[in-house]
Amino acid sequence: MKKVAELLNAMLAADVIDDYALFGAAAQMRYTEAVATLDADILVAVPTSDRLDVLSPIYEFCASRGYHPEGESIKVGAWPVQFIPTFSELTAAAMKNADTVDFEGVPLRVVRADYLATLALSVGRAKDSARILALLEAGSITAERMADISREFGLYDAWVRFKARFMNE
Amino acid sequence: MNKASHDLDKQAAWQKTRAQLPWPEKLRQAEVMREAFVKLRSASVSRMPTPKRRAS
Repeated sequence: MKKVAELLNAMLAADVIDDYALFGAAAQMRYTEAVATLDADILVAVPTSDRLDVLSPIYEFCASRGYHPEGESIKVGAWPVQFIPTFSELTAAAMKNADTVDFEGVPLRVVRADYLATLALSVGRAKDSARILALLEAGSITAERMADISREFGLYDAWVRFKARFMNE
Repeated sequence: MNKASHDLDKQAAWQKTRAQLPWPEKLRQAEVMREAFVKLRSASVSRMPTPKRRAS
Protein backbone atom coordinates (compact mmCIF):
# COMPACT_ATOMS: atom_id res chain seq x y z
CA MET A 1 0.00 0.00 0.00
CA LYS A 2 3.00 2.29 0.49
CA LYS A 3 3.73 2.00 -3.26
CA VAL A 4 0.09 2.89 -3.97
CA ALA A 5 0.39 5.98 -1.75
CA GLU A 6 3.62 7.04 -3.48
CA LEU A 7 2.05 6.59 -6.92
CA LEU A 8 -1.06 8.61 -5.98
CA ASN A 9 1.02 11.43 -4.50
CA ALA A 10 3.16 11.51 -7.66
CA MET A 11 -0.03 11.76 -9.76
CA LEU A 12 -1.14 14.71 -7.65
CA ALA A 13 2.24 16.42 -8.01
CA ALA A 14 2.11 15.93 -11.80
CA ASP A 15 -1.45 17.36 -12.01
CA VAL A 16 -2.74 14.10 -13.47
CA ILE A 17 -5.40 14.15 -10.75
CA ASP A 18 -6.76 16.95 -8.56
CA ASP A 19 -7.39 14.79 -5.50
CA TYR A 20 -7.77 11.17 -4.42
CA ALA A 21 -8.89 9.08 -1.47
CA LEU A 22 -8.71 5.38 -0.70
CA PHE A 23 -12.10 3.87 0.18
CA GLY A 24 -13.75 0.44 0.38
CA ALA A 25 -12.49 -2.49 2.41
CA ALA A 26 -8.86 -1.33 2.57
CA ALA A 27 -9.99 1.95 4.14
CA GLN A 28 -12.43 0.17 6.46
CA MET A 29 -9.51 -1.74 8.00
CA ARG A 30 -8.27 1.44 9.63
CA TYR A 31 -11.13 0.95 12.06
CA THR A 32 -11.97 -2.76 12.09
CA GLU A 33 -10.13 -6.05 12.01
CA ALA A 34 -8.67 -7.20 8.66
CA VAL A 35 -11.22 -8.29 6.07
CA ALA A 36 -10.82 -10.17 2.80
CA THR A 37 -10.67 -7.90 -0.22
CA LEU A 38 -9.50 -8.32 -3.78
CA ASP A 39 -8.41 -4.78 -4.58
CA ALA A 40 -7.78 -1.23 -3.42
CA ASP A 41 -10.49 1.23 -4.50
CA ILE A 42 -9.43 4.83 -5.11
CA LEU A 43 -11.77 7.75 -5.64
CA VAL A 44 -10.15 10.28 -7.97
CA ALA A 45 -10.95 13.78 -9.15
CA VAL A 46 -9.60 14.34 -12.64
CA PRO A 47 -9.00 17.78 -14.15
CA THR A 48 -11.89 18.87 -16.36
CA SER A 49 -11.50 17.18 -19.68
CA ASP A 50 -13.45 16.69 -22.87
CA ARG A 51 -11.97 13.24 -23.25
CA LEU A 52 -14.47 10.42 -23.24
CA ASP A 53 -12.11 8.19 -21.30
CA VAL A 54 -11.30 10.28 -18.25
CA LEU A 55 -9.06 7.57 -16.81
CA SER A 56 -6.65 7.52 -19.78
CA PRO A 57 -4.18 10.03 -18.28
CA ILE A 58 -4.09 7.95 -15.07
CA TYR A 59 -3.42 4.74 -16.97
CA GLU A 60 -0.74 6.47 -19.06
CA PHE A 61 0.94 7.83 -15.92
CA CYS A 62 0.87 4.38 -14.31
CA ALA A 63 2.38 2.81 -17.44
CA SER A 64 5.19 5.39 -17.40
CA ARG A 65 5.99 4.18 -13.88
CA GLY A 66 5.93 0.52 -14.89
CA TYR A 67 2.45 -0.29 -13.58
CA HIS A 68 0.22 -1.92 -16.16
CA PRO A 69 -3.46 -2.90 -16.31
CA GLU A 70 -4.56 -6.37 -15.23
CA GLY A 71 -8.21 -6.70 -16.15
CA GLU A 72 -10.16 -3.83 -14.61
CA SER A 73 -7.35 -2.73 -12.33
CA ILE A 74 -3.70 -1.73 -12.28
CA LYS A 75 -1.35 -3.89 -10.23
CA VAL A 76 0.74 -1.73 -7.88
CA GLY A 77 2.97 -3.86 -5.68
CA ALA A 78 0.71 -6.39 -3.97
CA TRP A 79 -2.49 -4.45 -4.71
CA PRO A 80 -4.71 -4.43 -7.78
CA VAL A 81 -5.88 -0.79 -7.80
CA GLN A 82 -9.20 0.39 -9.21
CA PHE A 83 -9.62 4.09 -10.00
CA ILE A 84 -13.15 5.42 -9.73
CA PRO A 85 -13.83 9.04 -10.75
CA THR A 86 -16.13 10.82 -8.29
CA PHE A 87 -19.62 10.49 -9.71
CA SER A 88 -21.94 12.07 -7.15
CA GLU A 89 -22.20 14.69 -4.43
CA LEU A 90 -21.55 11.96 -1.86
CA THR A 91 -18.38 10.59 -3.49
CA ALA A 92 -17.06 14.14 -3.99
CA ALA A 93 -17.70 14.99 -0.32
CA ALA A 94 -16.14 11.70 0.84
CA MET A 95 -12.97 12.58 -1.06
CA LYS A 96 -12.91 16.23 -0.02
CA ASN A 97 -13.30 15.36 3.68
CA ALA A 98 -10.82 12.46 3.62
CA ASP A 99 -8.13 12.18 6.30
CA THR A 100 -4.50 12.44 5.30
CA VAL A 101 -2.74 9.76 7.31
CA ASP A 102 0.88 8.74 7.69
CA PHE A 103 1.29 5.38 6.00
CA GLU A 104 4.76 4.14 6.91
CA GLY A 105 6.17 7.62 6.33
CA VAL A 106 4.12 8.44 3.22
CA PRO A 107 0.99 10.64 3.27
CA LEU A 108 -2.11 8.77 2.13
CA ARG A 109 -5.62 10.22 1.80
CA VAL A 110 -8.30 7.91 3.18
CA VAL A 111 -12.07 8.28 3.32
CA ARG A 112 -13.36 8.72 6.90
CA ALA A 113 -15.49 6.12 8.66
CA ASP A 114 -18.75 8.13 8.46
CA TYR A 115 -18.38 8.57 4.70
CA LEU A 116 -17.32 4.93 4.25
CA ALA A 117 -20.54 3.86 5.99
CA THR A 118 -22.66 6.29 3.96
CA LEU A 119 -21.12 5.09 0.69
CA ALA A 120 -21.89 1.53 1.79
CA LEU A 121 -25.45 2.58 2.63
CA SER A 122 -25.86 4.06 -0.85
CA VAL A 123 -24.78 0.80 -2.52
CA GLY A 124 -26.70 -1.56 -0.23
CA ARG A 125 -25.26 -5.01 -0.99
CA ALA A 126 -24.92 -7.59 1.79
CA LYS A 127 -21.19 -6.84 2.16
CA ASP A 128 -21.98 -3.12 2.44
CA SER A 129 -24.38 -3.80 5.31
CA ALA A 130 -21.65 -5.88 6.96
CA ARG A 131 -19.28 -2.91 6.58
CA ILE A 132 -21.70 -0.53 8.30
CA LEU A 133 -22.23 -3.01 11.15
CA ALA A 134 -18.46 -3.51 11.54
CA LEU A 135 -17.88 0.25 11.73
CA LEU A 136 -20.71 0.64 14.26
CA GLU A 137 -19.32 -2.22 16.36
CA ALA A 138 -15.84 -0.69 16.26
CA GLY A 139 -17.30 2.56 17.60
CA SER A 140 -15.97 4.48 14.58
CA ILE A 141 -19.45 5.74 13.70
CA THR A 142 -22.60 6.27 15.74
CA ALA A 143 -26.26 5.85 14.82
CA GLU A 144 -26.72 9.59 15.46
CA ARG A 145 -23.96 10.54 13.01
CA MET A 146 -25.39 8.12 10.44
CA ALA A 147 -28.82 9.71 10.78
CA ASP A 148 -27.33 13.17 10.17
CA ILE A 149 -25.06 12.29 7.27
CA SER A 150 -27.62 10.07 5.52
CA ARG A 151 -30.12 12.94 5.71
CA GLU A 152 -27.52 15.26 4.15
CA PHE A 153 -27.16 12.99 1.11
CA GLY A 154 -30.79 11.94 0.67
CA LEU A 155 -30.23 8.49 2.16
CA TYR A 156 -32.22 8.84 5.38
CA ASP A 157 -34.91 6.35 4.26
CA ALA A 158 -32.18 3.82 3.48
CA TRP A 159 -30.72 4.39 6.97
CA VAL A 160 -34.12 3.88 8.61
CA ARG A 161 -34.55 0.61 6.67
CA PHE A 162 -31.03 -0.48 7.66
CA LYS A 163 -31.75 0.22 11.33
CA ALA A 164 -35.07 -1.66 11.22
CA ARG A 165 -33.38 -4.64 9.61
CA PHE A 166 -30.14 -4.89 11.55
CA MET A 167 -30.41 -2.84 14.73
CA ASN A 168 -33.74 -3.89 16.23
CA GLU A 169 -32.55 -5.10 19.61
CA MET B 1 -22.06 -18.98 32.47
CA ASN B 2 -21.40 -22.32 30.77
CA LYS B 3 -18.07 -23.22 29.24
CA ALA B 4 -19.22 -22.74 25.63
CA SER B 5 -20.37 -19.17 26.20
CA HIS B 6 -17.20 -18.44 28.20
CA ASP B 7 -15.12 -19.68 25.26
CA LEU B 8 -17.16 -17.61 22.80
CA ASP B 9 -16.65 -14.50 24.95
CA LYS B 10 -12.91 -15.19 25.02
CA GLN B 11 -12.88 -15.58 21.24
CA ALA B 12 -14.85 -12.32 20.78
CA ALA B 13 -12.39 -10.48 23.05
CA TRP B 14 -9.46 -11.89 21.09
CA GLN B 15 -11.07 -10.84 17.79
CA LYS B 16 -11.48 -7.32 19.15
CA THR B 17 -7.76 -7.10 19.87
CA ARG B 18 -7.12 -7.80 16.17
CA ALA B 19 -8.99 -4.61 15.33
CA GLN B 20 -6.41 -2.70 17.42
CA LEU B 21 -3.48 -3.85 15.26
CA PRO B 22 -1.73 -1.14 13.21
CA TRP B 23 -3.46 -0.48 9.87
CA PRO B 24 -0.43 -1.54 7.75
CA GLU B 25 -0.40 -4.87 9.58
CA LYS B 26 -4.12 -5.39 8.89
CA LEU B 27 -3.53 -4.62 5.21
CA ARG B 28 -0.74 -7.22 5.17
CA GLN B 29 -3.20 -9.73 6.68
CA ALA B 30 -5.68 -8.83 3.93
CA GLU B 31 -3.00 -9.57 1.30
CA VAL B 32 -2.55 -13.06 2.78
CA MET B 33 -6.34 -13.55 2.91
CA ARG B 34 -6.68 -12.47 -0.71
CA GLU B 35 -4.15 -15.08 -1.82
CA ALA B 36 -6.05 -17.80 0.02
CA PHE B 37 -9.37 -16.45 -1.28
CA VAL B 38 -8.19 -16.52 -4.90
CA LYS B 39 -6.92 -20.10 -4.47
CA LEU B 40 -10.21 -21.19 -2.91
CA ARG B 41 -12.16 -19.70 -5.80
CA SER B 42 -10.05 -21.43 -8.42
CA ALA B 43 -11.69 -24.37 -10.19
CA SER B 44 -8.87 -26.76 -9.35
CA VAL B 45 -9.76 -26.67 -5.66
CA SER B 46 -13.31 -27.90 -6.21
CA ARG B 47 -12.03 -30.77 -8.36
CA MET B 48 -9.85 -32.31 -5.66
CA PRO B 49 -10.90 -35.80 -4.54
CA THR B 50 -12.49 -35.91 -1.09
CA PRO B 51 -10.01 -37.21 1.50
CA LYS B 52 -10.99 -40.57 2.95
CA ARG B 53 -10.69 -41.80 6.53
CA ARG B 54 -8.17 -44.54 7.09
CA ALA B 55 -9.92 -47.87 7.76
CA SER B 56 -9.35 -48.87 11.38
